[in-house]
Amino acid sequence: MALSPEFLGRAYRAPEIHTVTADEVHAFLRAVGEPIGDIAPPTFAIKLALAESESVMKSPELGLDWNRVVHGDQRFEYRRAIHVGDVLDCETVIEAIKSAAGNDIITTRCDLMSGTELVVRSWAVLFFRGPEK
Amino acid sequence: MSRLSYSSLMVGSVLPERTFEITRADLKRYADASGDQNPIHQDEAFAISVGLPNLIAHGMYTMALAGKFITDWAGDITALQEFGVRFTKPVIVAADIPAVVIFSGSVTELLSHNSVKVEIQAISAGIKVLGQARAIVSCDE
Repeated sequence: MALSPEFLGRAYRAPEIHTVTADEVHAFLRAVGEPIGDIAPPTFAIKLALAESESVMKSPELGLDWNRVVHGDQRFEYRRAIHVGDVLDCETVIEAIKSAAGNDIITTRCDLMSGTELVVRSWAVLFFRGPEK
Repeated sequence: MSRLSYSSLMVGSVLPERTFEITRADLKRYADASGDQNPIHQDEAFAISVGLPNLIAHGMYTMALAGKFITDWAGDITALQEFGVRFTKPVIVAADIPAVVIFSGSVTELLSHNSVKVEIQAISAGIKVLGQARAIVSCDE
Protein backbone atom coordinates (compact mmCIF):
# COMPACT_ATOMS: atom_id res chain seq x y z
CA MET A 1 0.00 0.00 0.00
CA ALA A 2 1.63 3.22 -1.13
CA LEU A 3 1.66 6.18 1.20
CA SER A 4 -0.84 8.83 0.16
CA PRO A 5 0.73 11.95 -1.41
CA GLU A 6 -1.51 14.03 0.88
CA PHE A 7 1.23 13.71 3.53
CA LEU A 8 3.72 15.63 1.39
CA GLY A 9 4.81 18.77 3.22
CA ARG A 10 3.24 17.65 6.48
CA ALA A 11 5.20 18.98 9.49
CA TYR A 12 5.43 17.46 12.94
CA ARG A 13 6.88 19.02 16.06
CA ALA A 14 8.38 16.72 18.66
CA PRO A 15 6.18 16.69 21.73
CA GLU A 16 9.09 17.30 24.07
CA ILE A 17 12.11 19.56 24.11
CA HIS A 18 15.37 17.64 24.49
CA THR A 19 18.14 18.76 26.80
CA VAL A 20 21.46 17.31 25.62
CA THR A 21 23.12 15.54 28.55
CA ALA A 22 26.80 14.92 29.21
CA ASP A 23 26.04 11.20 29.55
CA GLU A 24 24.57 10.87 26.08
CA VAL A 25 27.28 12.95 24.37
CA HIS A 26 30.03 11.00 26.17
CA ALA A 27 28.41 7.67 25.29
CA PHE A 28 28.23 8.70 21.62
CA LEU A 29 31.83 9.94 21.62
CA ARG A 30 32.96 6.66 23.19
CA ALA A 31 30.97 4.62 20.68
CA VAL A 32 32.64 6.32 17.73
CA GLY A 33 36.13 6.28 19.25
CA GLU A 34 36.48 9.99 20.04
CA PRO A 35 38.06 11.43 23.18
CA ILE A 36 35.54 12.55 25.79
CA GLY A 37 34.49 16.19 25.71
CA ASP A 38 31.39 18.35 25.72
CA ILE A 39 31.05 18.84 21.97
CA ALA A 40 29.01 16.19 20.14
CA PRO A 41 30.44 14.60 16.99
CA PRO A 42 28.78 15.47 13.67
CA THR A 43 26.47 12.47 13.41
CA PHE A 44 25.15 12.81 16.99
CA ALA A 45 22.20 14.78 15.55
CA ILE A 46 20.84 11.49 14.18
CA LYS A 47 20.02 10.36 17.70
CA LEU A 48 17.34 13.04 17.90
CA ALA A 49 16.39 13.18 14.21
CA LEU A 50 15.89 9.48 13.60
CA ALA A 51 13.96 8.94 16.84
CA GLU A 52 11.61 11.70 15.75
CA SER A 53 11.29 10.30 12.20
CA GLU A 54 10.48 6.93 13.72
CA SER A 55 7.69 8.33 15.85
CA VAL A 56 6.23 10.25 12.87
CA MET A 57 6.40 7.25 10.51
CA LYS A 58 4.79 4.97 13.11
CA SER A 59 2.03 7.46 13.92
CA PRO A 60 -1.42 6.01 13.20
CA GLU A 61 -2.10 8.37 10.28
CA LEU A 62 0.99 7.21 8.38
CA GLY A 63 1.06 3.74 9.85
CA LEU A 64 4.32 2.66 8.25
CA ASP A 65 6.10 -0.45 9.50
CA TRP A 66 9.36 0.73 11.04
CA ASN A 67 10.56 -2.89 11.10
CA ARG A 68 10.74 -2.77 7.31
CA VAL A 69 12.74 0.42 6.99
CA VAL A 70 16.09 0.68 5.23
CA HIS A 71 18.06 3.89 5.57
CA GLY A 72 19.02 4.96 2.05
CA ASP A 73 20.68 8.36 2.33
CA GLN A 74 21.58 10.73 5.12
CA ARG A 75 22.69 14.34 4.90
CA PHE A 76 23.41 17.06 7.46
CA GLU A 77 23.88 20.81 7.29
CA TYR A 78 25.48 22.30 10.36
CA ARG A 79 25.09 25.87 11.56
CA ARG A 80 27.10 24.93 14.64
CA ALA A 81 28.04 21.84 16.66
CA ILE A 82 25.71 20.45 19.34
CA HIS A 83 27.00 20.88 22.90
CA VAL A 84 26.16 19.37 26.26
CA GLY A 85 23.40 21.52 27.75
CA ASP A 86 21.82 22.49 24.43
CA VAL A 87 18.05 22.57 24.62
CA LEU A 88 16.76 21.43 21.26
CA ASP A 89 13.46 20.92 19.66
CA CYS A 90 12.88 19.00 16.53
CA GLU A 91 10.58 19.70 13.62
CA THR A 92 10.16 16.98 11.02
CA VAL A 93 8.79 17.65 7.54
CA ILE A 94 7.89 15.04 4.94
CA GLU A 95 9.70 16.46 1.91
CA ALA A 96 9.20 13.73 -0.68
CA ILE A 97 7.09 10.63 -1.18
CA LYS A 98 7.78 8.14 -3.92
CA SER A 99 6.70 4.64 -4.60
CA ALA A 100 8.75 2.14 -6.57
CA ALA A 101 8.37 -1.62 -6.95
CA GLY A 102 6.02 -1.82 -3.98
CA ASN A 103 8.31 0.19 -1.69
CA ASP A 104 7.54 3.58 -0.17
CA ILE A 105 10.50 5.94 -0.41
CA ILE A 106 10.15 8.86 1.95
CA THR A 107 12.44 11.83 2.46
CA THR A 108 12.17 13.49 5.85
CA ARG A 109 13.84 16.73 6.86
CA CYS A 110 14.52 17.36 10.51
CA ASP A 111 15.39 20.78 11.89
CA LEU A 112 17.00 20.81 15.32
CA MET A 113 16.30 24.22 16.78
CA SER A 114 17.56 26.00 19.88
CA GLY A 115 14.73 28.47 20.37
CA THR A 116 14.59 30.25 17.01
CA GLU A 117 18.17 29.32 16.09
CA LEU A 118 18.61 26.52 13.57
CA VAL A 119 21.46 24.28 14.81
CA VAL A 120 21.43 21.27 12.46
CA ARG A 121 19.21 20.49 9.49
CA SER A 122 19.21 16.91 8.28
CA TRP A 123 17.57 14.82 5.60
CA ALA A 124 16.99 11.07 5.64
CA VAL A 125 15.80 8.97 2.73
CA LEU A 126 13.92 5.99 4.15
CA PHE A 127 12.88 2.93 2.12
CA PHE A 128 9.95 1.00 3.52
CA ARG A 129 10.08 -2.40 1.90
CA GLY A 130 6.79 -3.68 0.64
CA PRO A 131 5.50 -7.17 1.47
CA GLU A 132 7.47 -10.09 0.02
CA LYS A 133 5.95 -11.36 -3.20
CA MET B 1 42.34 22.57 18.28
CA SER B 2 44.08 23.55 15.13
CA ARG B 3 42.40 23.21 11.81
CA LEU B 4 44.00 22.30 8.56
CA SER B 5 45.32 25.27 6.62
CA TYR B 6 43.30 26.16 3.53
CA SER B 7 46.38 27.52 1.75
CA SER B 8 48.04 24.09 2.03
CA LEU B 9 45.25 22.41 0.05
CA MET B 10 44.47 22.04 -3.62
CA VAL B 11 42.02 20.06 -5.69
CA GLY B 12 43.31 16.51 -5.51
CA SER B 13 44.88 16.85 -2.04
CA VAL B 14 44.53 13.46 -0.43
CA LEU B 15 42.98 12.45 2.89
CA PRO B 16 45.45 9.74 3.93
CA GLU B 17 43.86 6.30 3.91
CA ARG B 18 42.79 4.90 7.29
CA THR B 19 41.41 1.58 8.41
CA PHE B 20 38.74 1.14 11.08
CA GLU B 21 37.75 -2.18 12.61
CA ILE B 22 34.17 -2.87 13.67
CA THR B 23 33.30 -5.61 16.18
CA ARG B 24 29.92 -6.71 17.47
CA ALA B 25 30.81 -5.10 20.80
CA ASP B 26 31.21 -1.80 18.92
CA LEU B 27 27.73 -2.22 17.43
CA LYS B 28 26.22 -2.87 20.86
CA ARG B 29 27.92 0.26 22.20
CA TYR B 30 26.70 2.28 19.20
CA ALA B 31 23.16 0.89 19.54
CA ASP B 32 23.05 2.00 23.18
CA ALA B 33 24.55 5.42 22.41
CA SER B 34 22.34 6.16 19.40
CA GLY B 35 19.13 4.50 20.54
CA ASP B 36 18.97 2.43 17.33
CA GLN B 37 18.29 -1.04 18.72
CA ASN B 38 17.21 -2.64 15.45
CA PRO B 39 18.00 -6.35 15.93
CA ILE B 40 19.61 -6.64 12.46
CA HIS B 41 22.63 -4.99 14.13
CA GLN B 42 22.77 -7.24 17.18
CA ASP B 43 21.06 -10.57 16.56
CA GLU B 44 22.63 -12.76 13.90
CA ALA B 45 19.72 -15.22 13.74
CA PHE B 46 17.26 -12.36 13.30
CA ALA B 47 19.41 -10.70 10.59
CA ILE B 48 19.58 -13.96 8.64
CA SER B 49 15.82 -14.51 9.08
CA VAL B 50 15.12 -11.24 7.25
CA GLY B 51 17.37 -12.19 4.35
CA LEU B 52 20.66 -10.56 5.30
CA PRO B 53 23.90 -12.53 4.88
CA ASN B 54 24.82 -11.94 8.54
CA LEU B 55 24.62 -9.26 11.20
CA ILE B 56 25.25 -5.81 9.67
CA ALA B 57 26.63 -2.56 11.07
CA HIS B 58 24.33 0.44 11.46
CA GLY B 59 24.76 2.58 8.35
CA MET B 60 24.94 5.54 10.71
CA TYR B 61 27.84 3.90 12.55
CA THR B 62 29.78 3.67 9.29
CA MET B 63 28.81 7.30 8.65
CA ALA B 64 30.03 8.24 12.14
CA LEU B 65 33.42 6.63 11.41
CA ALA B 66 33.51 8.45 8.07
CA GLY B 67 32.86 11.66 9.99
CA LYS B 68 35.73 10.88 12.33
CA PHE B 69 37.98 10.14 9.34
CA ILE B 70 37.22 13.59 7.91
CA THR B 71 37.27 15.61 11.15
CA ASP B 72 40.53 13.99 12.31
CA TRP B 73 42.05 15.02 8.97
CA ALA B 74 40.58 18.51 9.36
CA GLY B 75 41.91 18.76 12.93
CA ASP B 76 38.58 19.79 14.46
CA ILE B 77 35.48 17.79 15.37
CA THR B 78 33.36 20.88 14.55
CA ALA B 79 34.85 21.47 11.07
CA LEU B 80 31.99 20.05 8.99
CA GLN B 81 29.48 22.41 7.40
CA GLU B 82 27.75 19.73 5.37
CA PHE B 83 28.05 15.97 5.34
CA GLY B 84 26.08 13.44 3.32
CA VAL B 85 26.29 9.80 2.30
CA ARG B 86 24.31 7.11 0.51
CA PHE B 87 24.28 3.70 2.14
CA THR B 88 25.02 1.50 -0.86
CA LYS B 89 25.90 -1.83 0.77
CA PRO B 90 25.95 -3.02 4.37
CA VAL B 91 29.11 -3.66 6.38
CA ILE B 92 28.87 -7.30 7.40
CA VAL B 93 30.13 -8.07 10.90
CA ALA B 94 30.96 -11.70 11.67
CA ALA B 95 30.99 -13.11 15.20
CA ASP B 96 34.67 -13.87 15.53
CA ILE B 97 36.61 -11.36 13.45
CA PRO B 98 36.16 -7.61 13.18
CA ALA B 99 34.87 -6.12 9.95
CA VAL B 100 37.34 -3.75 8.32
CA VAL B 101 36.40 -0.48 6.64
CA ILE B 102 39.05 1.37 4.65
CA PHE B 103 38.46 5.09 4.16
CA SER B 104 40.20 7.24 1.59
CA GLY B 105 39.36 10.53 -0.01
CA SER B 106 40.43 13.73 -1.66
CA VAL B 107 39.62 17.41 -2.00
CA THR B 108 37.33 17.93 -4.99
CA GLU B 109 36.73 21.67 -4.83
CA LEU B 110 38.14 24.79 -3.17
CA LEU B 111 35.31 26.98 -1.92
CA SER B 112 35.16 30.52 -0.56
CA HIS B 113 35.62 31.34 3.15
CA ASN B 114 38.46 28.83 3.61
CA SER B 115 36.21 25.85 2.95
CA VAL B 116 36.81 22.80 0.83
CA LYS B 117 34.65 20.04 -0.53
CA VAL B 118 35.91 16.51 -0.04
CA GLU B 119 34.71 13.22 -1.41
CA ILE B 120 35.54 10.00 0.38
CA GLN B 121 35.37 6.29 -0.32
CA ALA B 122 34.57 3.55 2.17
CA ILE B 123 35.40 -0.05 1.28
CA SER B 124 34.63 -3.15 3.34
CA ALA B 125 35.47 -6.69 2.19
CA GLY B 126 36.28 -5.23 -1.22
CA ILE B 127 32.83 -3.63 -1.56
CA LYS B 128 31.94 0.05 -1.66
CA VAL B 129 29.68 0.61 1.35
CA LEU B 130 29.09 4.36 0.99
CA GLY B 131 28.24 6.29 -2.16
CA GLN B 132 28.22 10.02 -2.81
CA ALA B 133 30.02 10.50 0.48
CA ARG B 134 30.85 14.18 0.53
CA ALA B 135 31.49 16.89 3.05
CA ILE B 136 32.18 20.60 3.14
CA VAL B 137 34.98 21.25 5.60
CA SER B 138 35.97 24.53 7.24
CA CYS B 139 39.71 25.18 7.40
CA ASP B 140 41.95 27.88 8.83
CA GLU B 141 43.49 30.37 6.43
